[in-house]
Amino acid sequence: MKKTSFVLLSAAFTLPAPAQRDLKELPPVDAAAEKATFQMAPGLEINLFAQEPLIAKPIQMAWDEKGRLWVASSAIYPHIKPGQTQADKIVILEDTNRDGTADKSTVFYEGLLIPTGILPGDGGAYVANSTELLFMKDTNGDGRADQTKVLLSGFGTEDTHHILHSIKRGPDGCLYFAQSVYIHSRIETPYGVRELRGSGWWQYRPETGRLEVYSMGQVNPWGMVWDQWGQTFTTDGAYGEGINYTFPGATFLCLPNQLPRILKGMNPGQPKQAGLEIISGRHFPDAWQGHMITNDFRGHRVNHFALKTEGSGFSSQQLEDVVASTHGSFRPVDTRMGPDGALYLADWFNPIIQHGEVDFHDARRDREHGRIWRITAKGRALSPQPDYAKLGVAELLEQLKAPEDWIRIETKQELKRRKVADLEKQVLTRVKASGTSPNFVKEAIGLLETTRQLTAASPLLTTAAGDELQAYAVRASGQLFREGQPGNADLILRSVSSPSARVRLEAVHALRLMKDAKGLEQALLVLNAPMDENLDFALWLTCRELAELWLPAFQKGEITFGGNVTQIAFALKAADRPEAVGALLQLVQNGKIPEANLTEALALAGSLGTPEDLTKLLDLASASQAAPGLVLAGYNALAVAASQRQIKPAGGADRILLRLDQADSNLRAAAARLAGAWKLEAARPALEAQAKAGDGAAMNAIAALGGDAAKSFLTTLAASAPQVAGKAAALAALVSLDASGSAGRVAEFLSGLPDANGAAVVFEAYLARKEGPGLLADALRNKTLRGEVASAGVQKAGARGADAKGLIEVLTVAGGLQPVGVGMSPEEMSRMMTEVKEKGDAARGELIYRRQALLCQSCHAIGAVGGIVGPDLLSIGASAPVDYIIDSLLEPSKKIKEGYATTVVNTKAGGVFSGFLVREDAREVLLRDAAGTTQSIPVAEVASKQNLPASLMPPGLTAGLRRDEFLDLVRFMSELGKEGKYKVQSDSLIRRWRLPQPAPDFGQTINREGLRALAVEQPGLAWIPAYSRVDGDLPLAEIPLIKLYQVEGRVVQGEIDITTAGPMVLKIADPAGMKLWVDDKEIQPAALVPLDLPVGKHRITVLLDPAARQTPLRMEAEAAAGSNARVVPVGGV
Amino acid sequence: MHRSLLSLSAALLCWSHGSAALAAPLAVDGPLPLKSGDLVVLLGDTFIERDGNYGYLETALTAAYAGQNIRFRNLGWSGDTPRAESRAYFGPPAEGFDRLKQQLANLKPTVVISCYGAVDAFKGEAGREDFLKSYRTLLGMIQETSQAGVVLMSPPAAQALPAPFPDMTAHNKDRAATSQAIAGLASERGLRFADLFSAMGNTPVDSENGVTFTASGYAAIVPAFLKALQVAPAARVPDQLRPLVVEKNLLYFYRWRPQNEIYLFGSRKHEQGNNASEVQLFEPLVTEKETAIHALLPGK
Repeated sequence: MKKTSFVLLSAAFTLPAPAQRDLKELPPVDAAAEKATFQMAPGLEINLFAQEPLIAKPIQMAWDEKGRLWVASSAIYPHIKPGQTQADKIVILEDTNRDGTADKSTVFYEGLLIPTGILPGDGGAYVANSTELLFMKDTNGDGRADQTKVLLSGFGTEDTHHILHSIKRGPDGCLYFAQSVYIHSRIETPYGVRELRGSGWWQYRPETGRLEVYSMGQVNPWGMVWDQWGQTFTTDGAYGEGINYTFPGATFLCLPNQLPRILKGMNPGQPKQAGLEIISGRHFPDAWQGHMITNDFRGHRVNHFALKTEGSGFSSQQLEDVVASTHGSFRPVDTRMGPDGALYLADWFNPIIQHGEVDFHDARRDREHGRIWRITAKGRALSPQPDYAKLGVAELLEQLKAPEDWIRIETKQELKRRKVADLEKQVLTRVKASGTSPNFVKEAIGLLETTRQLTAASPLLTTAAGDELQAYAVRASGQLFREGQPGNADLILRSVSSPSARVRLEAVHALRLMKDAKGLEQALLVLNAPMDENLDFALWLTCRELAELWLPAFQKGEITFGGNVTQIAFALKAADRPEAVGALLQLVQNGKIPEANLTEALALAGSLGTPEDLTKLLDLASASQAAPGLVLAGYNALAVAASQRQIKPAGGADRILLRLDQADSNLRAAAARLAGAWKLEAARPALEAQAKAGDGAAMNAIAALGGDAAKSFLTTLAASAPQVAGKAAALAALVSLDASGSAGRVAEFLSGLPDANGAAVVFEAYLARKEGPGLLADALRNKTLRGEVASAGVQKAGARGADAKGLIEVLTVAGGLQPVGVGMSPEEMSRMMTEVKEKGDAARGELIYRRQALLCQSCHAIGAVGGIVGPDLLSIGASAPVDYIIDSLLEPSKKIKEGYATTVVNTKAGGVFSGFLVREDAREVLLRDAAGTTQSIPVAEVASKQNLPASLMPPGLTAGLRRDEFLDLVRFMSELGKEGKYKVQSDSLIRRWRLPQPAPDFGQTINREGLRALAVEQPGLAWIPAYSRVDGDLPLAEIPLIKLYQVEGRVVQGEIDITTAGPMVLKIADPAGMKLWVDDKEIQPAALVPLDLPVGKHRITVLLDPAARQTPLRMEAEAAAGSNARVVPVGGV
Repeated sequence: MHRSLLSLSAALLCWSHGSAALAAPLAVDGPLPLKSGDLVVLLGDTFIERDGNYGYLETALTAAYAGQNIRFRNLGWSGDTPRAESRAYFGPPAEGFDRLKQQLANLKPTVVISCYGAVDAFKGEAGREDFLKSYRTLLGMIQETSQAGVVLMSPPAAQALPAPFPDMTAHNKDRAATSQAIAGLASERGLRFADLFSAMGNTPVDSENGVTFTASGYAAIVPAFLKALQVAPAARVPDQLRPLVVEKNLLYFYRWRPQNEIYLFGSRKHEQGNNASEVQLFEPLVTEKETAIHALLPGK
């Protein structure tokens, strides 16, 4: 078959923004037509509560104590136009006859600029209004605000879907609200200035004016809720990890990360979600109680999760969608339980979301419509609605036992309004009289927090019975410290040793807020009990934040951690300060640091230590009896100190010479690197001998030694090395020494290459130098390269940004590469979009997506399964217009997802690094390159840092596709995440696999050990990744047949992670013709394979008989019915 | 370094109003000598920024110089310090400082009334030296960039509010000490000092939380503000004046601190940078309001 490459015409005139295309696809605005698309979860029904003209463009909503719904709405979003009046509104909706539909709408205030948060309370309403948090009040009873106070100002507005939003009232009576990743805020408060750069949640108590950062990170946090025990959860509209357990101080992904370590959400690979509510109350059936509801506004779905306690935290499992729709303008963005016990949805109603990809003023943006939907359980009575104002104090206290979360919150607010002086006495009487449930005690503590009557001595804190209640009491006690009052230190200290992991976790948070060196010493006691990710993070953060307090005390011997080395090592590593290095090395010397922690501990010494510390480190690593792990970690740390900080030990460098001819190649390479970093002339003869044997590390070390001798040695080596790899390595080393002088030689080398082997290392050597791309481009002009060689160069250069453009052009010509289409005319784009719809085939497109040569899966995941370099494409079809997808494929740098821009760092030594900015702190800049490798650059070495509007995705990846193939690919991507076949259905499916790459003599291993050898980790068996299709099937054709001594078979291996042990099942769609191992134990395959495995990761190895089956492989792993087990298929690369 | 930000600021403010007369140094004493054609930048933290919303202080000054066509630009930014920390957006404080410098270079103010110190006062004695050092750097930059006459204004007095708001007594001592330090700085550099802190004295004014003021609080601060600047209050302030000042400030706010910064000028300008030029369309709207303001005040 003749294959014509698909080349796009380069249009003569420039492209307007992708606006106005695809206009005919606007969905109908009629509410009945929208409702007709809703598929409801069994047992639920939905009705329209309100729509335009009563309400338009709702963003956040909240109920007041009278059962009225307050809605923040914006027609101006995303951007005010010159001449436009600031006229966004807060609207109050009322259902006066309680028939389930709103019949009255009052404009409380008109004149705001993109208000994205609303909370009625305290006799008025809190309103998030761009740079400010306002308090607005109706003082004359006409239903309209006539008084406005600016409570807080200084919130950033760098991106209007990130601005101050989502105001919620916590069980402690504080307000919580969020800002997102691009926002930088500095707020003056009576306690000093408070700053938050990037995403996070704020905590604010209006009565005292205290504002604090509650948690940090996430990309676009949007949605917060508390469970019945006051544990906090959030969701996020841009980073897709589902429900996040958000304890005080929790820090998630930040761009760039502000902390060296972060926590993860509980449902990685989720679509992005906005708004979070928890089902409670008498109206919803028992099975729904405590479930979390959030909105996949891109996929037009309302999602549903159930949580279970797991260790100190939780696990979260997705259940069936509450609402699933195919209506392109159905955009559920907020969800709240209503006073009648029904679940309400704010439907922003818009075919266009976001405002990066689509023009601010695009005419397709809907500015007029909006709906509030109401979801009820069929055939069940509504929840009772107390008339708070008419209840006496005693009756109100009874309401604290209501199962409805909102009634309890509202009751506390009503009691706050009443200004009752002796609330504690009244609740204590009740607790004593009836031995009231822990739930009541928890609400009582919350009531005292809300009314600010809680004291450290309150018996409510200490009579706490039950782990969940104690956890809340400990958190409340820590919060007292945060608010400048004494908390119950005894309770906190005692809780460190609680048998409950949750209580221990809260104790570690509370100790962080207590800010006391002795307390910190106690906190480390949690290491005596089993740790988990949350505990480890919280303890690390506590040690780090309090370092200024405890480190001097430790150095003076005022605290000793009881001499417990595990505790001391943990605290010192967490402190991450130069003062800690000496003490840390002493522990290493005494053999007190476990081998697993050695690398990290010594790396800390290398990046922080003084020359004296480094001398000690060299002593340790040079000792004749030093373990290989210690030597390796020590040398690497010393090399980092030398090359990045120009610090080395005072003397004794010659001691490393011994290691240069070590048999262990890792040790030898580390010694060579160190010799280079130290410019250790005495090492030259040994390095030359190794280099002649083809050792690349030795070549680089010789280049680092420098001088004419190095130049002439490497030049000779480049000419004489027998292997291509050796030549390439010698040339690369030579480039670092003399980029200009070796350009001609490198050009010769590249033009002589028969394939891409050896090309990458040379291209990288040039791209790592500021002047490199220009030099290489000049040398390659008028040369001819093999297509593969040029293409390897283009891919490497693509990530370098604008200054590699010339090189890319030269490579394109030299390699005869197809030019990439730039700039279609609107007509051409429109034609292509029509063709995608009419001719594109998503099934064929998926096969194209899965082709190795296109590299899609190497960098992108679909639902957490696949590469991590680029954004997850899980719901790209549901969120992005077709023209956006086309543009992104053809010109990746034209549209860049937030957080995926390229950062280029020039170092003072003239080096250049480029990649995705992972983290930046006072010490280092971390970049992840297109190959997924992370590089650390010390801040002291950074000469300049630039964010480039360039994508790490190389242009031209699709240039080899025929037009029909391209259309299929776009069609496939445009279906991803939409209702139907291309929505990832279940999180229990195993979708990440690996395929064996057996060594040539692996047949002998099978002969010796039997087929079981497939299931055992061993050196002769390497693996490469493979991924199931979006529907969960792994096609047989993609599992290669391999020779297994005397038989042939298809072998594939998956992995599951058990986080809570218990009975579970493997569900196998077709167990025919299959052998199955779990870890290295063979199991009889069946449609349902019951298992009971310990906590940890487990391999599932499958051997398929080509003669006995034709169906694809499909397997799910989940808890058995009624089991507490928690099983997650392992995703990622 | 930071080229993108500098060019952004240039784009933001590269409009000049013809008559930026070269300013002579301001007399350190006597009535504040504002004159026709002056462009006065109000620079500072939350205290200055919020007057943009309420307009009381600017209105009082405007009215006091009736008939003189003086223009005001409020560059206050919540939580700011002389290091321009609030102005940095994505970068280090130095980036905010560069941004401010570029804005002043483009605006060419003839007078800068600078009111800092409220934020740094929270650091107490320990932070004072660093505050003065950073203020010196700022003043050096202002004088080198704009040749404007500079008035150093001390921070307002924090207000005592009943518990559970914190007691501000100790903090006010720090504000008093900060004010004295600013007075010393003014005298060291031969600049005019306006002692708002002392002028406010112990007379209570309405505040939200002790450190930021309500609209009526600003109204109550007007006499102290004028006294500190040694400006005689206008005999008559037209009722329509303050609303116009507030409207003008809002339009200018859209101009100098537009929303969606990241798309217009920042790392995502490849997506929406085409809309960046739109912010300049607020300029004629600001001028329109200014014309109306001056029309209200024909002079004596």
